[in-house]
Amino acid sequence: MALTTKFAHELEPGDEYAPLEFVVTKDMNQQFLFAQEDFDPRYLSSKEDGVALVHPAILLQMAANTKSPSFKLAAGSGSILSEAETTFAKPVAIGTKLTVRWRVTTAYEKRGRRYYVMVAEMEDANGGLVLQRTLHLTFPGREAK
Amino acid sequence: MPAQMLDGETYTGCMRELSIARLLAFSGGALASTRWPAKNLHTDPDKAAEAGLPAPIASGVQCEGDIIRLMTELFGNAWFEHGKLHVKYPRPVFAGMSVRACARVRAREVRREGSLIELDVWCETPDMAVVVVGSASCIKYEVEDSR
Repeated sequence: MALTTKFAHELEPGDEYAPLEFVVTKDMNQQFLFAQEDFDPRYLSSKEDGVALVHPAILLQMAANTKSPSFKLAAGSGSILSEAETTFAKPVAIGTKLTVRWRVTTAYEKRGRRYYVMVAEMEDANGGLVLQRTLHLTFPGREAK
Repeated sequence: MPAQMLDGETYTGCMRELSIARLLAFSGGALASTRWPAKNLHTDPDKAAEAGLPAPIASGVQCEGDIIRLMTELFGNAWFEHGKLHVKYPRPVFAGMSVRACARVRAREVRREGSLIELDVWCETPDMAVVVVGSASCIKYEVEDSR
């Protein structure tokens, strides 16, 4: 399926965003530990092999639709996350190469506003699922025009 | 980490301020970037004002992270492989407000490897306004995985 180049408010079920590849570095992890005020030892070093785990909040942040290279907002519009459902499948060590893919599965109307359901799947370099996150998104400002 | 979790039991995290420093760290992009911090509704008072907001607004995902912290305290490493979280964000959280994560056991199902625990979860402010609300579930192993 072709990757979409549409503005966010023009999305339709079946559209897919360009994937994002990234690696969480030790510095990035520490930045989020500060943001979360969560300095649990598992994120600093592992008892088993000395490799620290990536804080899950980073994975949620990187699964946001706004992180895709395809994400494009029309002038005067915004992107609002109203609901999210996440399934964690695998812990991630710092330095792991990760890929996120997004696809629009459904769209619906609620209180006169159009919402888009987008599924984000994050995998490691071996194709192992790390998490799946279902995002309910709305892009106010342009949808009615 | 509790040895077992019984129906109706409630757990709470610490009340912590979502300071502008924490919002910048979460939503400002990589510290190493020459353009840090990114200016957006979460980090910049002017951008927030343009959108009609009284102050930078915390990303709902950042509050979600507080719930995840509570879940890892309750379930340990099992959360990373079996954790499920479903949330909505009914009210905004602005820079300087404080929130804490809470969870209450709703159901417990005994399984071969342990118990599947279902919880109602939420984040609340000091005046009990709920800013994130939803549900979570995870396997609670009888013998904690020491990984």
